[in-house]
Amino acid sequence: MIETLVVLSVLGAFLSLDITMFGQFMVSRPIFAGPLVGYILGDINTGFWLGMIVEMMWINAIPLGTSIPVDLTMMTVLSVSWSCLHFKGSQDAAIFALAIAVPFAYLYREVDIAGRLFNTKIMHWIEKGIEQGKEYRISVGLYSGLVLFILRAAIVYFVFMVLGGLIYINMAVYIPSGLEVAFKKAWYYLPVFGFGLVLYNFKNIIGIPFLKKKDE
Amino acid sequence: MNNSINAKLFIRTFFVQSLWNFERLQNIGFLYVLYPVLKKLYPDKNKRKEVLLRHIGFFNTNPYMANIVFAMIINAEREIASGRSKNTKKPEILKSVISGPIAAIGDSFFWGTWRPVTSFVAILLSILAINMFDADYLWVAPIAFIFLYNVVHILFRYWILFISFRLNEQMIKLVAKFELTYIGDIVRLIGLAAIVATLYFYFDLFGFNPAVNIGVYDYSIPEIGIFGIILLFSFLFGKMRPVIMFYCAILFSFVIGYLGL
Repeated sequence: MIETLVVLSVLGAFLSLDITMFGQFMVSRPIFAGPLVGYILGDINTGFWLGMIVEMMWINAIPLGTSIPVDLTMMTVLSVSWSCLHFKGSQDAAIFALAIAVPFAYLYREVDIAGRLFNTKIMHWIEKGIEQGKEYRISVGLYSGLVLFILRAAIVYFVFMVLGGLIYINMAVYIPSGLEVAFKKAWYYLPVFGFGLVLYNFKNIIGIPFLKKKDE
Repeated sequence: MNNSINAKLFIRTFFVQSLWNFERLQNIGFLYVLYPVLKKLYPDKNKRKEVLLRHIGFFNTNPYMANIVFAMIINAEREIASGRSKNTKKPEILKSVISGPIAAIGDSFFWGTWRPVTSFVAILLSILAINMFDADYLWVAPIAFIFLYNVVHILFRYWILFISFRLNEQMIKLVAKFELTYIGDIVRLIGLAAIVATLYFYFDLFGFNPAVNIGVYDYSIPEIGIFGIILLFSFLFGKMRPVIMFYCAILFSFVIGYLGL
């Protein structure tokens, strides 16, 4: 079990790297990360479904300027991992895992902000180095920023996976039947909520005036 | 510039945000991308130090569109290094003037249009897969998303970098003429068609479950009616924060589940 959690934590850290730090190939998006983790844990269906829900409901969460969006990769990887590791194939348990993973992803945003604040210190170290003729600090500083990110993210993933996993298992056992039915319903309702949000996002389409944004 | 420097330059463009910080945002990434070129243009270490310090200031743009800035700055530095221009402030001015407008174009097209549309095409494919093959081919969706997105993204990054070298300041006119926003509208229409098709297949697949009795005499609402209410609600309250919407959806499911019991 520990090996699986370590592998998932490292995988999650590398996927999160794609959000801003390297490439932006979109492997960090829930629609890819969810099925990937689901496939590794033998339940691609749950992975895809949770990934699809997160992708649509947080369709506008993108890093613009100095805004730091919530880490959707963490939300997806945690929820898919918990549900596939502990209650494989259960729809209500999967939605419950997602409901637990959301606050953890918001908590990770604070860790991410702290990490970016530390990057400022590395930046000043590089600047001083250039003034002293130590140009190698540009590459060393940049790579160390990447390595620190991966280490930080992997550790946080691991801690959240263990802690959140314990909370998840212990709470899942005591879920009242009414809430179980609610989570089962939510499995089908949440994507519909997502469709509505995507439609809202697409409403400024040319040629469809009644769908256009008012400020245009 | 030889092929090896060109290849290095292109690969390094993927690191533009690697040391993103709150003070000067992408400045170290910017320096890292330009470093091999500046090393070749300024073999003298003292001169190079001056240039590197000139470029360590604030830099922020869309990471895909940044390639235009890199090419134009390199062209300006080439002129300065060869002595054809004495205006050492030009690269700095270019950087601050171009970064904002091209970031707006890139953000709107790639983040606001291309990514949601490709992800939605993938969702459509998966709903179709569930409809026709009972989830056996679900893996197609994420692979289709990554392939579709990156074919355009990587080719665009490559093309925009090397064409900007040739066109230099004319590139701004080309970007304006190219009208990514117009292409964005067309892509969004394709996205809208994908959404409508997905909705049809989704409602067809899951919307005709037995009716939910809402507990008022014999009155009952079919599942598809509930789907319609949810769709209208989330569309009308689309401005709501996603996290609030998410927990509202759970609460709504609880109410429906409770009334349906």
